[in-house]
Amino acid sequence: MIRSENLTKTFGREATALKNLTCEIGEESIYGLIGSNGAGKSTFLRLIAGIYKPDSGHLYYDEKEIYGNEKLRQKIILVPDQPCFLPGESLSGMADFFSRIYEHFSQEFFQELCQIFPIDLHKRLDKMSKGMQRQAYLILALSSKPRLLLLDEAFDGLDPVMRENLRRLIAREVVTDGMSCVIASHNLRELEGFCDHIALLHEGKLVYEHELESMDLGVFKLQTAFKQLPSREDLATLGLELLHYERRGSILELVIRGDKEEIQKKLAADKPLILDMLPLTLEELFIYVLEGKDYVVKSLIS
Amino acid sequence: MFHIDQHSRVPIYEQLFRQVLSLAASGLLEENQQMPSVRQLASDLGINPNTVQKAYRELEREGLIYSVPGRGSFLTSTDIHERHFAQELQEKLQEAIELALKSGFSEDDIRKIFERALDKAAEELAAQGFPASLTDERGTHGSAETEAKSTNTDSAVLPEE
Repeated sequence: MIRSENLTKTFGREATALKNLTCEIGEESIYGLIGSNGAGKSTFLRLIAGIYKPDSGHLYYDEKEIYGNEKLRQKIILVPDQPCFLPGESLSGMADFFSRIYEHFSQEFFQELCQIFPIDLHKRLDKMSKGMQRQAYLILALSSKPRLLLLDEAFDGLDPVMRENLRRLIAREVVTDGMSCVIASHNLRELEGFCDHIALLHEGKLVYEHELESMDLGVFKLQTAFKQLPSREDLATLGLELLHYERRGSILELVIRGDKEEIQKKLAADKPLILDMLPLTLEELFIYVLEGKDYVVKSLIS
Repeated sequence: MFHIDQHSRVPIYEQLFRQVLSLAASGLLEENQQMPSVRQLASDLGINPNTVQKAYRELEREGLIYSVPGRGSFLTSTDIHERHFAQELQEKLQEAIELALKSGFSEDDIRKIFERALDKAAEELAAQGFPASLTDERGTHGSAETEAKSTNTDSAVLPEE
């Protein structure tokens, strides 16, 4: 559905927000976009929404260039992290506005959503809390029946009940209408249970991308013990991409990126006394992968 | 019918898979009973439909459910589920035993601990009101005599509404 090819976006002379981003987002997919702050997530979403123009590279929706394509603007809707509305308007007024712009706007769906996410239809949106504003924008976006829904940290401002509602709605739209969804979020636990793919951005570059399968994230945590402790260099010589190396007493904890069987085979060659592969959470993956990029958890000096 | 623990480390598709297994093995899901559709499960539980499809695919691959094009998915004979469950139980026990052996326990130690656990479990269930015969009925599962019913599906069609 979405294909980006060496996508680059720069602001001014110094700030390169995205560098050579190449990735694919499939049909009926719930795609998670994670990364450090300023990594380029919002920029990527805005490029997909056709709001920004790529400086170089390409960005396609069904093999058609997105920027400038008016028809595609009907199908791709972005819910920004800071929703903005027409000055002084109410939800009812905004719904009217959206229904004129989006030809697939569904009044029925709008009514249903207003039941699920209760909001005063006639109150000024700019007088509401940020959370309510976010809910309002979500209602408007969903009612417009996009083929691709882009959520820029939209989950993060909702309470647990509303988050569950949103999950169910997205799941329903994906299954019933084949909608796809890209979710940028910092809540990795949530994404982990919901997304089928994840992309990790850091300083404008795509640093990790994988189908989410908890048994195989392409990165593994191992608890090992050796008679002769291998050094980092020793492991590098084995051809292992080491993300983390930590001695805890007689246990050597490693985080290695690569193919599961290959890793086991290469380590087995050193005759380990203990070799246990442990499941890695998305949070741990985030931390370890970025550790390799010098984006680290600092030990606090007391 | 199904319940997903979003905070568990067990992946969702595995949770679904296991629940179908244990519901079938315990008789709460019956042979030829219709499974909820992918759409229903995904939107009822708020989970990624790809995840549900994955679970259903696995279940079908293992012969635990079968699909009828245009009608949906249905549970296969519960014997298969019980055998599968027995297999999983064996694997779980094996894992625990391997850990014990690695930690220096002897086979005899482990056997004694197993007997104690078995007694305790039976006690617990009795206290909860489960009939003692429940444990006796399960004597012959996993034996070679139980033949698998062949499930003939023309195509591996995913459940549709």
